Amino acid sequence: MKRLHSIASKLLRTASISIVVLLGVTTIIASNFNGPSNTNPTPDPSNSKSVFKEISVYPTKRCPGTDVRAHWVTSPAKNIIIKLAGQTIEKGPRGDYVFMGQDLDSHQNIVEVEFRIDCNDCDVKKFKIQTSRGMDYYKSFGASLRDVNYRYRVILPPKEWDDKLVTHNIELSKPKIYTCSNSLTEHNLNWHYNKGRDSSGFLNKENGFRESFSRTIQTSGDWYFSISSPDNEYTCPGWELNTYNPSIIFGVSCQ
Amino acid sequence: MEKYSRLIQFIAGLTGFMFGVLVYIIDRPPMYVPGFVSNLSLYNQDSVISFGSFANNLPSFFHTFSFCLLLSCMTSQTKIKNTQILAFWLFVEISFELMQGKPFKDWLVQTQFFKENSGYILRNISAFINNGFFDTFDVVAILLGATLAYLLMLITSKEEKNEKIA
Repeated sequence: MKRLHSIASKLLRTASISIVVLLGVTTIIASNFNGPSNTNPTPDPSNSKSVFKEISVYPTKRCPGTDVRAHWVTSPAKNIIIKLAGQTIEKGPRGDYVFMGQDLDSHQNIVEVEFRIDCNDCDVKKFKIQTSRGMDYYKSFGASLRDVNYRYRVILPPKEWDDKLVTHNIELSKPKIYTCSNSLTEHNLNWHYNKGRDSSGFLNKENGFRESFSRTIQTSGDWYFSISSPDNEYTCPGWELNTYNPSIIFGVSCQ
Repeated sequence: MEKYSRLIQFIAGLTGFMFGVLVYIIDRPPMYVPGFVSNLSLYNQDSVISFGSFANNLPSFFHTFSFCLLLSCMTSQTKIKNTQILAFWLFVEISFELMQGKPFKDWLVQTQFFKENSGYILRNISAFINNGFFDTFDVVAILLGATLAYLLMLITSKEEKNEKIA
């Protein structure tokens, strides 16, 4: 009788452990449950205009094979419709979606993806996804750094730029003419560029405000550009840049 | 005393699990919540009652914490057993998290592992992988949950040992 009790006790314990393990694994899998595709959510009776409280699509500058991820949150919560090259996908008011690299590769170099909240007059956001299949040129503007005179930062966020994209050359587009305040005389000034440990150098009249890189430099990150006058031949209290922040053309391709 | 140790672990485990469920009730839209829990949803985008940015990682923390303790309270209260339980749940939790990573997703696409006519379990595992993202903070939450559970197991097991010596 005692033995029978012992066996029953062991069986009960094994069964309990199995149930806990099964429940544990099941709840992990259920944690990313996205609802069956044929679920029709109850329509929201309110007609309040819904907007995207959060939306991001990244990277929008990509190399072939790279997946593009999207994340969104609508407020008030309403379902959304994602449109990409004729394809329509219905999704919930908050979520994430992956555009598979293979699918994107089958489209043209520039493909537009639209996120539309599924109600009248509600928010619509459009993004262009660019696939680099050779040498591509992108123009970016520098933002002035307030703490330093004539220093500008071009931010190419790693989230937006595929980390496989590398820069082969940079060229200053504007401004190339510098005059001092209250003067019409033009001066030969240099632009100094710096990308942290990756590279630094000068863009000036001698090299045509252009620099080519022989080694691989990742495009994404912070690029700094500043006016420099190496010979200090002329001191100016305030350079006129013809109201332009510097614009830089990046020649990039996939690694 | 042993009964108390197990009871403490069971209550702590169950409480942790309930808190995990609460995150889903408060911070997830009902259509993303499985089963009857979706009917309990209090989700409101503009509500002030929210776990905030912690809501993304708290379920991983509570899940690891609770299931370590729930399993512990059903086994013998020894250090080896506790370590085995901890190792088992860490392996399961981190494996599932890694499955949401890009390399694994890529592998699934390449091998076409999940067919359209896959069974119920495979379809749900596929949904889990495709709808989720690998998150380093989830791994941190898992490690924190396991550490806290292990500390609680050690404290309660130690009390049991002392009781036996006395």
